[in-house]
Amino acid sequence: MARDRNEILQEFLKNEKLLELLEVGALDAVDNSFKDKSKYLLVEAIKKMILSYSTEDSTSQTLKKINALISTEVRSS
Amino acid sequence: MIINSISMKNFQCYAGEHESNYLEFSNGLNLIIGDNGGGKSKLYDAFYWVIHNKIFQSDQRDWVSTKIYKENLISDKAKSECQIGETITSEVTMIVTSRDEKKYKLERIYEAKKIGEREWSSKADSAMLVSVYSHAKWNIVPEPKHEKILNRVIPGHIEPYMWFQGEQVDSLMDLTDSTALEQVVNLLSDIKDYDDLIAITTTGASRTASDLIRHKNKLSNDEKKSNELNATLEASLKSIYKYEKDIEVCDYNIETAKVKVEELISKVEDAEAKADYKSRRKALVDLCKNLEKSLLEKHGSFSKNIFKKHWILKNVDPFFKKFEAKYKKYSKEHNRKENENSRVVIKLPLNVPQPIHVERMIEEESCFVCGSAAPKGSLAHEHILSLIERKPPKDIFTNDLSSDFEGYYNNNLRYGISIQDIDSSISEELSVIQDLKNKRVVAERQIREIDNQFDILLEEDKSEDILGEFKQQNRSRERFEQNKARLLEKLRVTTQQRDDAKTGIDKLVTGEIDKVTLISEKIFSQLKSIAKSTKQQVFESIILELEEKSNEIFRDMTHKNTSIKGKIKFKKITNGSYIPEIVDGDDYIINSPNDSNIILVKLSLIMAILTARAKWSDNYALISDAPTSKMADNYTFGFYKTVSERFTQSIVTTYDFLEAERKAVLSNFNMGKVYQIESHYPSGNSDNRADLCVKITEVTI
Repeated sequence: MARDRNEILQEFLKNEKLLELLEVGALDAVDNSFKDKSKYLLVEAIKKMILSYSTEDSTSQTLKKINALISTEVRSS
Repeated sequence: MIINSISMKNFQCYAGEHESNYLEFSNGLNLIIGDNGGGKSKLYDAFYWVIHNKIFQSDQRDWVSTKIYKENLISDKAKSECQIGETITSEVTMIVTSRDEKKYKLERIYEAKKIGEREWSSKADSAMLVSVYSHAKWNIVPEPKHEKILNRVIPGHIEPYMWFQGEQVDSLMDLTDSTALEQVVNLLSDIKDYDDLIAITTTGASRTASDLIRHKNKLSNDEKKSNELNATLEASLKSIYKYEKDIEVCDYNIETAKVKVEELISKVEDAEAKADYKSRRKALVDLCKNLEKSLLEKHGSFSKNIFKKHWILKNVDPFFKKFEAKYKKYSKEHNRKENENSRVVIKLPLNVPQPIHVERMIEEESCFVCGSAAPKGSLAHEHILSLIERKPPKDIFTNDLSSDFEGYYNNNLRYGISIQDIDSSISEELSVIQDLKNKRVVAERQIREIDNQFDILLEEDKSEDILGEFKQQNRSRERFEQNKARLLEKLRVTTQQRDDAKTGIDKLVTGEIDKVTLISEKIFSQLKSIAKSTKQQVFESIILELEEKSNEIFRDMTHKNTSIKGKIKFKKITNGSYIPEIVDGDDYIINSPNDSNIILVKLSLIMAILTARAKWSDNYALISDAPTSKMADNYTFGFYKTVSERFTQSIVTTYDFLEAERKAVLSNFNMGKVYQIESHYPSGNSDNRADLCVKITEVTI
């Protein structure tokens, strides 16, 4: 992990494909921060992935964390 | 890290103690000026030896380890002055400072004992000592930490671009290799992070997709059919992957053929005819593209006009007329019946006036509406009485569709006018399309004609090989384009098969699919595509940044040199990678640019990479041995100026500033220390290498 995780998150969040999938023109400030929770599950999954990768988790650990997030969010919705 | 100093003891031609072979450096451009054979390359070797324990062997043009080179690295003078039985050492000491202001001393020492006139008992290898300066003294750093500290002096992955010899510059980057730029970007930027994230999301997408398939199979009401459909799905996914890869190859080949054709055009000697050919052809190709675009738009609007201009109503005029006649007849009859009924129609609604008011009017024998008296027996009284007895109007029509028919009739009238114009409207549009087609045919014919003229030009150019290859490349391009069209059709059919299989599987599912499994598959599939697209987006922004930066550096290095032409352009090829090209003002490739020009382009690229995002130039010293050795004389000043301004520290050996008037130029640069080095024979015999040492003099600029 050479690059700053905030920088990677910014690159992901300005991606056209993401905006297209979320059907929005731009994201809110809460989406751009690791601290605040986004209303979009996809954005939260991206944050979880970058956080886990930046702490040098293994691929399996990263996938587990994303799966746990999805499971919790879907069951609570 | 920044390099503070280097000193040598009996290292190669640097005979004598550290004190007499000591060079101190500061920020800016540190120059070591010397004639050939003055010890410049050996100084470069000294830097390299400390870090890598290797020496450049000129006859083999390769780096060899101390274990092989042995006592050869000791100065001949020291060896000759050494007595049998005595031990001498060859040493290089480098002092460096890290960003956090920690000072390190790196010492490499090689020891040998003289056992005969020309015989030596040498140590198997050199020894390395690393010390850190703290509490006013040097403290030895344990060996396991050496590698980490050496890597902080110059990280391995950037070393080829930060530490290099002039004659190596050409091999640092192959401008003809389409993957070269990508490799350098991968190596020198942090884009690998995105590759890692793509790998993670791809694994996640693959696992969650398998989970979903298994889950759907469990819920299937026909397991056998489900398995068959899954097999079809898997096969179609494999085929789609293959077709997409094959299409990428075709795109690459088409692009390569186009580039080759461009290059061949550039080789033609008749510059005027070539320029004329290029501009005429470009204008015609642009015209063809515009005509094609207009045609596509016209075809699109032609279909829309079926509804927009009511062309769909073409040929319905007789039905309109028939409806009109029938409606008129119906309307007449309808009105007649209505008029007949109107005689019995009671104008006031049944509940007006309210019954209670009517009753009171009868009782009070007065009309509340007009205020007149209505005594019993009077006509007025009779009329009020009739209000109580009135009955609802007779419903003469069971289903009254008159308003609908009226609407249809009005539409008839409205559309009837446009129907009359449909034929002329269609033929007008068709004539525009035909006109565009004709223009395209003419333009294509003109392209063929000038291509033929160009063939003649090629023949006249007596370059038969060029003509043959030109035709060959054009044929190749056509063949690859045909292949691509076939593959696209296969891809379309297989994509349809994939979608059908997916729909089939879903139809067999009974019960509710687990929401978490379903959403996990969707989220991971989206993560995968976003990760890929983000990497491409980051890669492209780096490329753009590099292109701008390398042109900026190229301009800086060449702005006082009018003989240098062209600019650097990163041409995107269809497989998503980029090829660096040297192009002219019209973006045409400059063929056969001179070597100096190529070297400058490569150096610009390398410097752009080192000074861009990661800012390697801020944190590490550029060390180069005669970097301008392959450049023409008048190209070098721009290079040194640029290096002095863009790198925090550079240490460069050179023979470019031997003459006093050239040294004056250095005052315009951001200079560090300047030294002049020269071979020195204390006994005056320049043929005797055993007398050779190096005289180092600091020069004031």
